[in-house]
Amino acid sequence: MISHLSILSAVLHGHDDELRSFVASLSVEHSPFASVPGTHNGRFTVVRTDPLTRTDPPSLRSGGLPHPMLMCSAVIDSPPAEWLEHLLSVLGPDADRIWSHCAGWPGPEGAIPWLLQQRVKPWLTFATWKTDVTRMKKALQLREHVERFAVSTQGLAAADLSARFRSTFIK
Amino acid sequence: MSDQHGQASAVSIVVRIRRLGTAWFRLLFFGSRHLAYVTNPIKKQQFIHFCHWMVLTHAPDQSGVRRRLSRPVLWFESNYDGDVFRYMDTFTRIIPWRQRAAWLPTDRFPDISPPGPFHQWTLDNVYETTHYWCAYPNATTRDVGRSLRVEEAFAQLPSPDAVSAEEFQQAWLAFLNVRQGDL
Repeated sequence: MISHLSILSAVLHGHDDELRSFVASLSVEHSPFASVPGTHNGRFTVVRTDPLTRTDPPSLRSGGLPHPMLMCSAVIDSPPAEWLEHLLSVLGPDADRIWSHCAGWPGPEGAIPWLLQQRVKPWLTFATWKTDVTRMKKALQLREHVERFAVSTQGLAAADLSARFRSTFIK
Repeated sequence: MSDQHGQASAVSIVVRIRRLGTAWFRLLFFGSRHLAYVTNPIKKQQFIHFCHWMVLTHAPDQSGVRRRLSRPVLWFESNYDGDVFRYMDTFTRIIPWRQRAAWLPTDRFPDISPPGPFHQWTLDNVYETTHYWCAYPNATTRDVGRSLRVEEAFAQLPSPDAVSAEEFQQAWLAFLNVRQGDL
């Protein structure tokens, strides 16, 4: 069962630059989301008062939100509370470095109920493939193997093909 | 680019909703959830992994308490292949009326045509993703579909231990014949 999890928190006045710098410093190769099982994708978005090319008057900035916000969102295969528990354990002290810039953060102790309270339910979700991430990754890997196998076995006699198939795919 | 990981891109569009817009979205999204013809053309294009729409009527304030917003806000997030203009233009090309309906009740929406003002409106409301990660960064949405079809067909192949070498070769060639477009 795929869920779209979105957690919206208010960033404390004057904290948006520091929060943004820290979140932007997280490396993609060692992203915290990479170590949380059942994650298709994950993102942090710090919505500040200066989006890419904003020309609106100040009253319309922040997309109409009253102050900067942090959105943590992910597409996941596991129940949200379980997924958040994993994320927090992967983040360790970094969780505090992120959400301590947000209003009402209770610290690591009460983090999961607080994060769940900040959840915004989607009004509409869409997925081209409603398949869990483990199966998707296995299928992508298999396709690569099959491609290589097909190329390398072109023109083989039946007995050789059978033997190669056995040694490649049946271990 | 923090809103890209491999072939996958992330976009967030955050924009205020005009009067009566919330009711409009309630109706539109109800239709989209229950009528396959609304989303089928998007599925066929195979360039969006996942996306979702949220309508915020409340948001946490500086004490962390949820307060009603003076005007609701549409928050749209998508994970897709390509760049944001191609993304918006593909919608405009394949489902113009549904594309128009999705943004019509938002602030300063200039209509989807001509593309110039629409692109500017998109840029004005796109927020940079600060950190983005995808579990299969080297695969496009189309690659995922191809792989799932290959996986299904591959599972139907007989074990080479259960049939003769000639029968296995025949099954393998039939598999390649059917699935070569996905390899």
